[in-house]
Amino acid sequence: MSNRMDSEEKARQERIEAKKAERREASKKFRKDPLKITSLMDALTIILIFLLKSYGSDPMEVPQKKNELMLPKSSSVSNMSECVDIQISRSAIVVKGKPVVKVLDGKTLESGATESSNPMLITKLKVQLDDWRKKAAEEKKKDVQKYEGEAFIAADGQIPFKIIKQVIFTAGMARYTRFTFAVVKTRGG
Amino acid sequence: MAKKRAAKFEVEIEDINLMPIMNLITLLIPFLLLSAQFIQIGVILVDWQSRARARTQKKEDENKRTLGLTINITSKGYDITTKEKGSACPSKTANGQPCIPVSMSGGNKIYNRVALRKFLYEKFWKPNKSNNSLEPDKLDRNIYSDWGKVTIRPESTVPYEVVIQTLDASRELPPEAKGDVSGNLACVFKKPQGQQEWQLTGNCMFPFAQLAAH
Repeated sequence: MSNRMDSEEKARQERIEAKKAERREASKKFRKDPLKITSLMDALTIILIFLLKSYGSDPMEVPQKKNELMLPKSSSVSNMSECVDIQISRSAIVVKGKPVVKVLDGKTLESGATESSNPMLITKLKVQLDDWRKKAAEEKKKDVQKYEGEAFIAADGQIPFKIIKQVIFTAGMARYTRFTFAVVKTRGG
Repeated sequence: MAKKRAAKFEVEIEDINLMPIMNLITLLIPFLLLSAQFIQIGVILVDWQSRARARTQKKEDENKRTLGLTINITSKGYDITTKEKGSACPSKTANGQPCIPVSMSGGNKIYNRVALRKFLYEKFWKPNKSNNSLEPDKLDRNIYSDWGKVTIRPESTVPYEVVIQTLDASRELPPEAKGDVSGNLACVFKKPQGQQEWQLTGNCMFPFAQLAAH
């Protein structure tokens, strides 16, 4: 009985030893012949270049968010250029990343946002746009009084035209004469 | 001396260890994927009517005809008028209907922009294209001083999306126009580096849009 147990134990030990030897062999082989990662490196470099290109291709970014700011789709193939950006989402009007006026229910402006004598003029927005126009004129070394700005409006597709109208009117009062509307391109160009 | 010359040194060149670069790239990719914009943002150029009028006053005062094309976007649909002849669809206007009425789908109003584009092409662009051009050197020969201009007048409640669709419909030619123009039907505004003014390229219908209050 004990002989049989000894032989079984011996066989088990031998199996373990054989496995260890096998592992040692594999490890040696791996050290001698390491994993080839050059092709993987090539693929990753291509992905990296593509991502870096898409990262820096647009002069301005419009962060889109569902039920907040979703740009309308358009067949336009014209690209944008650097100018003052006004974002009109369902909750606020934002100038160059800074919230200026609240939008209630995605339909109306907060109370007191417009001038009582002129319901088309958004007071706080005009102040902001005036500042940005002055800065732009000084940067370009042009006469502040004569300089006419260009505004880039990124608005949610469901915003009523009334708000767009108020924003454009206010921008016009701040001497912004040309407007470009941001859209999502449905075709390349 | 001879012994020195005969001495050989075996230099074993090891493979470059790419692992640190791999680690760096693998870290960069998720970061760039998160911040990358896969949607391409484009622009549509518009003027606000009062400003545009002041700027083009001199040109339009010349002894030329004025088309004065206006698209009114009402809750009922598209109503098209011209300064020269009034309503573009008098029979419908007489019945209190718009030129291109809205249709209802799932409780939402659908503005038929395909029909609008075709209407503008057949009624205004095609009959007048031989006597009018958008090319700068041919502008003097135009019959209409405001050729290429359109005024969009949406009601206050109209969603912004519909305004954009209307601008698209008036700017670009329909597929039916392929035989009338050379090249593709794209209408593009480009701003050359360092320049203030946008330049128009391609084949356009009424690309100079002005927005006006209803």
